[in-house]
Amino acid sequence: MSDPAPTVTAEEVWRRLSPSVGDEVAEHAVVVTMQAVGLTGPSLTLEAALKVLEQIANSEGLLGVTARFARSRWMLQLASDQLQQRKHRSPG
Amino acid sequence: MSQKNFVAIAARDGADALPDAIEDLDRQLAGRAPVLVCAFAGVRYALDVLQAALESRWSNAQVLSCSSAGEFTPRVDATGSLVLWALAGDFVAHSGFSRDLADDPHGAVAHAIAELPDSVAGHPHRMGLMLLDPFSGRGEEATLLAATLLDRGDPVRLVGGAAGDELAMTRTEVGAAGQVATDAIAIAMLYSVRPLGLGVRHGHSAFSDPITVTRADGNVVYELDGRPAWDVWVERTRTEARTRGIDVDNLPLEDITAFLLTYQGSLAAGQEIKVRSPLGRGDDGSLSFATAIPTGASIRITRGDPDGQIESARQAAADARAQLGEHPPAGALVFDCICRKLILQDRFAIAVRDMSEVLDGAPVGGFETYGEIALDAGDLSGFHNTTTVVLAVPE
Repeated sequence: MSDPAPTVTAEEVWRRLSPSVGDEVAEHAVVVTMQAVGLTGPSLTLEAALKVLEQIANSEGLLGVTARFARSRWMLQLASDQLQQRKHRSPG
Repeated sequence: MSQKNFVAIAARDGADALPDAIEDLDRQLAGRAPVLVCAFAGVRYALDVLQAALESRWSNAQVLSCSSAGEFTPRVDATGSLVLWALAGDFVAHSGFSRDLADDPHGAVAHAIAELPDSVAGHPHRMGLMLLDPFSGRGEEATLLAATLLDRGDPVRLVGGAAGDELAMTRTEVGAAGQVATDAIAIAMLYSVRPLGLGVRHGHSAFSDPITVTRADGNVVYELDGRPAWDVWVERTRTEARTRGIDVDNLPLEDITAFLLTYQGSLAAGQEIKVRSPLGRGDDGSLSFATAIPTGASIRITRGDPDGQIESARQAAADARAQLGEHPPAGALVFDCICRKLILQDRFAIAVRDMSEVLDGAPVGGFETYGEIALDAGDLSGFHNTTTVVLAVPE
């Protein structure tokens, strides 16, 4: 049986925006975007979280720029984590 | 064979500052060829002349320059002077420049970084040095755009500052790659064998209740809690300012900038605050910042005490030093908010000497900014205010 898809909370998503736009704007943007794309749960898959950020990245101005950056850095981090996991798994 | 890295710093003022500073740098460099020369200059100096002279003298080096609010080394704490900071050693450097940052931040940043290589063989570490015009109002956007566009396989690290104009708050300039302009961004990418150290700290804390930004456009905040932003700022700082002998209801026009830089705003970001500095007041009671402030954001006004400012500078230097590991510092470049000088006054020099002391007595120099840039690999924001940013170079 395959592992369940990793999930994150909505808060983990908007915390990635708040250093640039503040907690309130970040939380509002993520909550509204989740609703708009039909995500209702307190948690979401990583794939859905990245899609939420992609959606917010279409916003004008600082919010859009911040979401694009946050998504880009998150993807780099995930790729780096996967590389590390593969290194640990590979023999010798 | 790897050569030892070397930092040389020259500080001068007066009419012959440029030739004198060049001569001083030459003497210190003692035949070493710098890869990067930074110039931080008071507004009395024509930055285009300065940029051209430095590029002519060191034609193989990248030259970054900007107007500043003040210039410093451990021995010099001046306004209207010139500081040259040069780096020699086992580095590769490239630079870029672009105008129209306010109207087209994406285009400007993309153009400025277009010629920067993704990587350089044998120099696995990258550090981007950015200078920009704070009156573009694009501080954070420019930083995050640069990082997004430069994140090619590994997260880029960025450091730098927003230019100044000795608190006139009218016009700043930056220069690189043969050009100097206002409303511009200059960037140099340093490729190094060993990682550089980056420290960033502020010593401010929020004291006001939260205030909601009810109307903003880009970097201009028109209304707070539904009222003119300036009125609310005055109201919320009145009591605190009185303890420092400031009568907010009778502020002379020439003291408004200093007042705003003393009582800066902040955004909540979890347990941290992100300081956001108003740079000026509009006739309509609006406040303009060096970066965008979104409508709906909650702002708290901050204050800083001198001891906290000295300690935060020391800590920033210690953080940068720690990242160098076993390698002693060759020197450091410091981007320090002008507001810290306003708070510390004569004690600002102590803070600079402390930073040098923490860095084993290595040469330290920099300028007083209208905003600071520091974005490390794990960071989610890169534009700061009222902050000390230290870039330490290993020998």
